[in-house]
Amino acid sequence: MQCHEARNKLAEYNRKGIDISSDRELMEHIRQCPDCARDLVADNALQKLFTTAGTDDTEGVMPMAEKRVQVEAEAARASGRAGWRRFFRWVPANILMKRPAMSFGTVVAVMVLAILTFVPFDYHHTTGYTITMEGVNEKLAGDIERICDMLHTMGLEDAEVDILSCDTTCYLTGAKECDTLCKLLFVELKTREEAQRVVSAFTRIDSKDLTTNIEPVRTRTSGTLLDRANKTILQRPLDSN
Amino acid sequence: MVDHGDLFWKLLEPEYIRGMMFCRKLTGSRDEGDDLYQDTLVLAFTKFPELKDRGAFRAWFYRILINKFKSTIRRPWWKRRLPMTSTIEAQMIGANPVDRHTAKRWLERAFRAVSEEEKTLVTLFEMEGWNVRELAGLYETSEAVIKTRLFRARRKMKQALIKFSNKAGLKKPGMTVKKKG
Repeated sequence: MQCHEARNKLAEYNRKGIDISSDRELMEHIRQCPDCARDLVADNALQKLFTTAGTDDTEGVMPMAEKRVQVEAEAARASGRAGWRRFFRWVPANILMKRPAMSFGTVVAVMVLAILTFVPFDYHHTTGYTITMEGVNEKLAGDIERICDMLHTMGLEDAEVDILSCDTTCYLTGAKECDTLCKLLFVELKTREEAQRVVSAFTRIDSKDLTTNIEPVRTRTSGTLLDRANKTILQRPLDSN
Repeated sequence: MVDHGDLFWKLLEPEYIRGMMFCRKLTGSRDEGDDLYQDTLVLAFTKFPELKDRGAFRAWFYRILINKFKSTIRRPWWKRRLPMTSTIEAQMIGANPVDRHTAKRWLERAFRAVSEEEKTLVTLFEMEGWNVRELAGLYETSEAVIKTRLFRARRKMKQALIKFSNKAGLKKPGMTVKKKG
């Protein structure tokens, strides 16, 4: 008998639970072949291990009714979590795959918005307005109290006024009567509307040679779009006042 | 009319204890086996409404259990489990294999030679009393394929035992030529 035949027979007898001693030829081969004998020994040992280790460990078995309560409670919790999982599976399956162009556009838009919202950049921020007023009569320009009263009446107490220079016009024009006209500077005007009101007030008093120039005061600021939006929202009530 | 929940537990009843025992044997530990069984029950209970053929409950349930076991052993914490040290292994040799604990250790050593798929198959066949036909139904394959897989797995395990005994230079008690009968 060849070794492979002997081993096949051993396996078959083992599977069917047949006593190998009934097969004389096989027994003879095993006696003469140490490899097959070792195989038989290992086979017996393995079978013994299966039998010994295969006995049931029934300690601590939870009754089915108790287990049912535990399992159903956990399944209910799991189904709550599964709802979100289903949603995240549904999105790629139904939107990303079916409408790729729309999905791509949305992703790009979200990315741009995220960059604008969270990435800081430099921008110019209007902090106020200045008025340069040329050709103001010296008497009026010199009467600071009157100007301050006028600003106070308009509700512009914070506005500052400064005389930049005064020139006598007759030197330039050759006129008989000489006027001295001054250049005034108004600062700390928060809105263009305030600036317009100051200009209108001066025009009503003396519009003869008045030249005005309203300029925004711009400051370079660094911040995100979100910061800018916040500043704009916070400034709006001031503007409306 | 019986609702899904009641029907599930009714169909599970004959397999309830056997399933738990199988899990304990598969993991080699009572606690880990019970955890595996709990996870399997939760999953099976949730998926039960999808089962159309209620007659195939047993095979369906064990398929879930086996898949759950396979996914569990792929988890990092399971992979971090320390294998037996050489000291423990040395203590195993010569210990009485009639003792269930020692036999489990020996078997664990032999199971290392086979894949998880083969381990599951051998456990069901040798320790849980499933026959080849039932296993063929479970794995949706022919009986011949199951027989071949079992034969190969058993051969690998035998070789592992022989190698282990030779390495130790000792003969495991009980590993003597013995006539069956």
